[in-house]
Amino acid sequence: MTPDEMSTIWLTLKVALISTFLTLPVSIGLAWILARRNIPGKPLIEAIISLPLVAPPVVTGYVLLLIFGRNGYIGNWLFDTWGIRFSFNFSALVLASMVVSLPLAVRTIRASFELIDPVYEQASQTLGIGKLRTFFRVSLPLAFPGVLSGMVLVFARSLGEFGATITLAGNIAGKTQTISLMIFSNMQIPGKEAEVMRLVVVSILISFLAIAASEFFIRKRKYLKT
Amino acid sequence: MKLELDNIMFRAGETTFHYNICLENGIIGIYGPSGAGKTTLMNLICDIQKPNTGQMLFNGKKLFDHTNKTNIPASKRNIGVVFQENNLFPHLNVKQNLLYSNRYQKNKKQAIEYPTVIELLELSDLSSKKPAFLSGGERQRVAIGRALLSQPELLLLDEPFSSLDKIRRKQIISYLLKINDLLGIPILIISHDLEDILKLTRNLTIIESGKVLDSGHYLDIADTGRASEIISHKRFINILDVYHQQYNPASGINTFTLNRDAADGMLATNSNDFINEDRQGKKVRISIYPDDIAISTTNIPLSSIQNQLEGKIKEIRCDRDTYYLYIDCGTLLVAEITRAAYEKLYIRTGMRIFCLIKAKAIDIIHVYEH
Repeated sequence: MTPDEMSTIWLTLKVALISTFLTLPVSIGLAWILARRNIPGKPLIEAIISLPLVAPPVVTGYVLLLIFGRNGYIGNWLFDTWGIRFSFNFSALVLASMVVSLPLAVRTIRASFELIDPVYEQASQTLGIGKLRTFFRVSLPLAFPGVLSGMVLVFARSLGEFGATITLAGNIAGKTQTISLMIFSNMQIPGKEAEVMRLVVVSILISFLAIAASEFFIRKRKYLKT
Repeated sequence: MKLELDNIMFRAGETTFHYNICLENGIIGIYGPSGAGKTTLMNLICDIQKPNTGQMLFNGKKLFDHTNKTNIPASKRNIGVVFQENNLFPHLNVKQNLLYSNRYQKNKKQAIEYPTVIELLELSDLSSKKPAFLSGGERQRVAIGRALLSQPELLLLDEPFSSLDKIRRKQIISYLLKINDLLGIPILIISHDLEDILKLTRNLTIIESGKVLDSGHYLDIADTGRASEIISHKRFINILDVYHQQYNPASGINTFTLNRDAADGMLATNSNDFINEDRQGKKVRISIYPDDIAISTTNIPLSSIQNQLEGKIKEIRCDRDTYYLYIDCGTLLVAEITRAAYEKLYIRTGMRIFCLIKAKAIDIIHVYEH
C-alpha cells in the first residue's frame, strides 16, 4: 500500500463513519414519523426522501451543488453567515453520502418500526411512561436490528458513493478522493491494474467486515425471532 | 374506586359504541360475546382509543371530557392494564419487565413493592428469564405483576384467560382473588368466558353491539331478561365463600361450614389440591354447578353422597323444560332440575328440601389469607 492509498482509505472510512453517525438520528426520526404518525403530506415527504434512491446520482449531486454550492440557495447563506462551505471539500463528501444513503436507512428502519406491535408502546404508556421515554425504552430497542441494518447500508453506500460525490466534492487527490474515485482514476491510467486490484480487495474486505459485525449484533438479539 | 362513563360515544367506521355505566369497588366483570365491544371499552378507559363525545371520570377526576377537550394521557391515568396477549417487553427479562415503571414512580406512594409482588405471584424463579422462555401462565403472572408495580388505582384485565388451559386459568383466578384480597386493588375483568368471570365476581356488566345491556348481580340480570340472549340460568355457576373446618387425612376429606361461627351447613370435598391442616378457619371460595345438585324431599342417611344440605325453596324459575330452584341453605344455592323431577317431587316455593352434592362436585377456587 502506498501512503496515498492509505490516506484515501482513511478518508473514505472517515466519510463513511461520520455519514453513518450523522444520518442515523435523522433517519430514525423520519422512519418513526413515517411508521407511526399520520401527518399531512406524508406521501410527498416519502417521495422527497426516496428521490436520491431513484434519481441518477450525478443529478442528485448537481441538485446538491445548486442548493449547497458556494453560490447555491442555502450554500450562499451558510457561507456568509457561518463560513460553512459544502462544495469540493470534506463536508461535501459527507453531505453527498448522507443524502444518497438516507432513503436506504429510512426504509430499513421504518420497516423495523412497522413490525413492532403498537401494543408494546401502549403497554408502556399504561405503566405510566410518557411517549418520549417509551420511544427510547421500547420502540428503539425493539427496532434495533433494523437500525443496525440501516447503519450498515449507510456505511456501505458511503464507501461506494461515486456520482453525487464527484459532482459535489470533485475528485481532488488527498482532499476529496475516496476509494471509489481513486479506483476510477487509476483505471484511466494504463499499468495501474495492481493498484486498482488492491483497492478493490480493501473495499470488499471493509464491506464484508461491516456486514459480519451487524449480523453478529443482530444474532445477539435473537428475542425478536422467538 | 369509582369509574363513570357518561354518554361515552365512539365511532369506528359504521359501528357506534355507546357506554353509559358506573363501576365501583371490588371485582367487576365485563361480559359479552366476541365482537360486542368489550375491548373497545377497555381501550377507551386506558386511552388507547379516544371517544368522540361524552365524559369519563375516575375517582372524581376527569379523564376525558369532550365539551372542554380534556383528555388525560394513558401514562397519567393510573390504570394498570393487562392486555389479552400480555405484551411483556421481549428485550427485557422478567425482573426488568416488573421494574419497568419503577424508576419513574418516585413521586408516587409505593403501596405495592417488588418483593410483595414476587411473593404474591410466585415469580422468584423467573426473574432472569426473557418472556420468550416463559409459559402462557407465567407470562400472564408477570404481566399482572408489572401492572401492579405501576401502583395503579385500578387493575384492568382484557381476556386474561384466553390463551390459558384449564389448570392455568384456575391458577390465575386464584392470584387475582389474592390481589384483591391482600392489596385491596379494584379489578375490572373483561372476558367472553362467563364461567371464569363468575369465579371471580357476580357483579357483572353485560355488553352487546357496543352498548351496555345490563349491570348488577348475575342472578338479577338473569331475572330481568334484558340480556336474555347472553345471560341465562343455564350458564350459572354457584360460587360460595365458605370456611374450612377440618381435614381428615384418613379419608382425604376436607369439611367446610357455610358460616364462620356456626357449625351448621357442612360441606365436604375431597379435592386433592387442598390437603393442608393449617388452613383451619380460613375463608375458601368454592364452586358448584347447578346441575351437580340433586334434590330430595327427605334426608338420605345411607348414601354415598357426602353433602346433604337442608334448605328452603325461595324462588322457582323455568326455562323451557328446565327448572332453576333458588334455595336458601344459609347461603343461596341454585339447583337445576328437569320438568320430570319437578313434577315428581311436587316442588313449590317455601318447600323444605335437601340439596345433595357429591364431594367431587365441589371445586376449590381460592383460599383467602384473611
